[in-house]
Amino acid sequence: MENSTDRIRIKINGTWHDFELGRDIRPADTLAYLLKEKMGLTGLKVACDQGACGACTIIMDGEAVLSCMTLAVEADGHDIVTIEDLGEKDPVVESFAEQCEPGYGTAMQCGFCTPGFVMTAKAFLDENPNPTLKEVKEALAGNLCRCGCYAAIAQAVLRAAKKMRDSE
Amino acid sequence: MKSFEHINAKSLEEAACILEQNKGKARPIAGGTDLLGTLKDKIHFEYPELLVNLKTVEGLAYIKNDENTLKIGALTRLSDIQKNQSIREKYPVLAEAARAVASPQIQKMATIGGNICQEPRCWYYRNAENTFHCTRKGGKYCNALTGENQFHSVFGAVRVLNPPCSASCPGGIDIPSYIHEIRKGDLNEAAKILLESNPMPAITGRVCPHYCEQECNRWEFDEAVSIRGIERFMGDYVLEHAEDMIRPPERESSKSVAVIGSGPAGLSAAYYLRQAGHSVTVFDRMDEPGGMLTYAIPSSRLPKDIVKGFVHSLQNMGIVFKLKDNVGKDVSIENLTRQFDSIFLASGAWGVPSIGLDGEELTRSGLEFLTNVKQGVKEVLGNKVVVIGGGNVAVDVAITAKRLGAGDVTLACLECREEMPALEWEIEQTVEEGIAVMPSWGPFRVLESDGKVKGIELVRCTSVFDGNGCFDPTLDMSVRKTCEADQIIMAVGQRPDLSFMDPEFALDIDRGLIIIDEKTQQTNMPGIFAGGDVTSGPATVIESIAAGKRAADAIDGYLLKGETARSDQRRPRNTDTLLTFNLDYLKETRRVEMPELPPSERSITAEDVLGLNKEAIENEANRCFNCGCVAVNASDMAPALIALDAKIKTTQRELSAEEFFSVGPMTTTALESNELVREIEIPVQKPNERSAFLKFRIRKSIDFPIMNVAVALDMNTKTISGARIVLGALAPVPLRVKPAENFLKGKELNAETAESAAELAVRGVIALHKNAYKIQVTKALVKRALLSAV
Repeated sequence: MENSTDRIRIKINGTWHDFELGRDIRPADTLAYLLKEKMGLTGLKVACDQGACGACTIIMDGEAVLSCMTLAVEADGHDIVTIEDLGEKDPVVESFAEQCEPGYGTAMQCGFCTPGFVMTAKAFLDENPNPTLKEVKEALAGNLCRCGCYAAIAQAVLRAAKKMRDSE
Repeated sequence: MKSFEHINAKSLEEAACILEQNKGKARPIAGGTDLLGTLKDKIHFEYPELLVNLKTVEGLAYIKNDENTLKIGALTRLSDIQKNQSIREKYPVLAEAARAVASPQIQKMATIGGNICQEPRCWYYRNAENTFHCTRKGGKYCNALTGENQFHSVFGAVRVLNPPCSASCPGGIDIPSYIHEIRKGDLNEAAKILLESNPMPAITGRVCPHYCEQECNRWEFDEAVSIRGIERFMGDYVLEHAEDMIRPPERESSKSVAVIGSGPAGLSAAYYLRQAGHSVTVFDRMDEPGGMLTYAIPSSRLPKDIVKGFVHSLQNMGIVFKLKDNVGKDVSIENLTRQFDSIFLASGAWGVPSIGLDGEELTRSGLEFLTNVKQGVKEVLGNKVVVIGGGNVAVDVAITAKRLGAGDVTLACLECREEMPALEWEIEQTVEEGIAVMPSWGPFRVLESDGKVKGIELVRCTSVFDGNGCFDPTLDMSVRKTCEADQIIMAVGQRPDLSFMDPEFALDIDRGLIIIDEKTQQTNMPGIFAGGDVTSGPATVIESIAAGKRAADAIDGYLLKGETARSDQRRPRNTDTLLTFNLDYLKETRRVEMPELPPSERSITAEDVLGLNKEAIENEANRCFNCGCVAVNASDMAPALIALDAKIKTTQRELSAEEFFSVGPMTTTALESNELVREIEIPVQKPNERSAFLKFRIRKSIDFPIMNVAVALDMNTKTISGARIVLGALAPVPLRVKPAENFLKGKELNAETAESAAELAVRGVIALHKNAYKIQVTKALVKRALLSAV
């Protein structure tokens, strides 16, 4: 029995990349490992490595998924977007950066969880451009922030939604 | 993660085939959110070598609605189920359950097929590096039972594999089940379970070394349950009620079996064969039946009356005993093969080998000595007796000699103290009774004068076994010791005496033992079976009983040509029911020891050890953990699917959701290792059907349920005509609460009836010491779920 694929192709931030199994990656490598360690895309973070914290969230085929709980070989043929692909002017990135509001505070303190939150929020807003606060909270339930900036993060997402709607 | 191979399956059939070819080494992967976590933490003893990716199987992610059913492909993601408009409208319980799973990211990765196959949720089970090799993984102990059990079952445990007591019993006695019947107060049922694998518990209750107690999980907590005490009480109970418990068969088979030898193996086979309806004749050369039980085990350990009582009950079953009938002399074995349809040889190990000792002819045999004493022959013992041997026969000989009034008794054996084959307590008893124990000394020659024993010269034995564990004593001739003695009794091993068989009787024999098939006890000759010491060499009573039972089962199959063979007479026990136990078991308690006579009052006639009374054995029964696993099935989809009466279609069959969720080693489903979920089919909801799902968890992200509840109500305008209420994460399996369902039938749903139903839902709970809070949560959520459904 042989592996059904010796080479895999993954589209990462708009460009297709080829990887040779055995040489570039092992079947047991996670997508998070491939992106961080092999591709140098260090924006995503591996914190819990159990799918609990959301810090490794990336967008695959338009949906926010956990790169630590995805095998790199199973990303074969898929389209992946990481935080690195989002520019400074991205409405979600911008809203997180700008967030500073009496009563809510900032959307980040240490910033460790931020790439995960941004990617989750990005995919969510593409699906639901005009969410309620409740919907935002539910959508972000899979991301943890140890600095406790949840209220401000939710506000940043609502602000990003408005920015995106306004720019259309 | 440790390395593994990865293969993309193109069809479920291909995947199943690969799993079958790599049994135990391959695992299927769908969403991977459960599996990868377990692999990262290496929670299992074995790590898969191959993952079979199911996501590459096309056409398995779908939601199809037709007139009669809703069909969901196994690879459908939970986020798609949650968002599906028709599911949200018609099956809110399903949409809500999918929405409750873990986190939004995981819902986008996880499949419904994977969700319902997730492994048990228990932090001992899932601890990294398999720290706790628990009962659910094939280990012995459920750590949660006595440990951190906040998130565990409140509805009892479930048996996964044989618990360690039963597993270590050569007879495989279902110990926890009969103890459970005692706890329930049903001694008759307890006795019946015991008799299924051991017809003579009064005997084993007295003489068995009880390997089961050494393995008892209660050692992890305080002390082993006194299984011997319980067994002995039950054994005496069986003999007292022998007329009801040991009965003649209801139907006769018209087949006949000759059993040669009436020791434990012979009696056990006779019992089970007679029970199966065969006519059984037991031959024995001695005056009384029982073999070693009657003639070798001292009365202080096993009174003759106990054996007599058992034999009497066997006679009442219709078993014929032909005593003083020396097969080989009085009747030839060839003759018996013509008279009977089958033969079971259980002639024991009565041969006493000569060890080639200088002056051995002046010694006597320990077995003969014990036999004489039991037959009432007056033994005159000298002042100084030396017993050679380190096994339990040697111990029995030494103690009997001492109690008969011998002055100094010395026990000398080749083995060092730790290696002596006698049990530790037996050796302690020898010392207690004033016998000098001399380990690591081998007999060299008998010292004599005028044909009379004067003593024995011993040499130092430095090791008994070679590197392979084979008997090969090494003696140091430079270290010698002389023991004065006027009598030397040899108890250095026994072996079968096969002289009763005509040499032309072509039975395969190897090194003095009859060769048999270990599963069936069948010899090389058709219809002739053998078991007990004659095939194994000296062994324990329970090993002989087990051999007798195996032989009886095989003979039965042979006689009936497999037509209606009773391969195993165990009556089915309801394995679906959850195991219950008395919460008292969790208090630290002392084991009740059986009272013993003080050494000064011991004799060769009365029993040394007295039995326990009913109260004491009930206390001991309450100490039994009834070992099982208390981990819960934490799937959120599972209760919803049961509430909707879903069918799970696999690569092999179709199961109801209720049948699908079950318990096995490392699994929460009834799936075989090469069986995969293909589709979930849900009957169409009636217009008046209402459903709801609620989950209680500590935080939102990734969290598994502390408990969840799915309800589906069939409404008849105002009243409920049918209800399904399913609790999740509260028991090893998702649990339908039928008392609550029945209660609601015909009732109007309001706060009062919902509350009563919620009360009924938690009836019979057994909270562990840290999870009683789950009961209140469950009551609140059941009520809320019922009220929110309409």
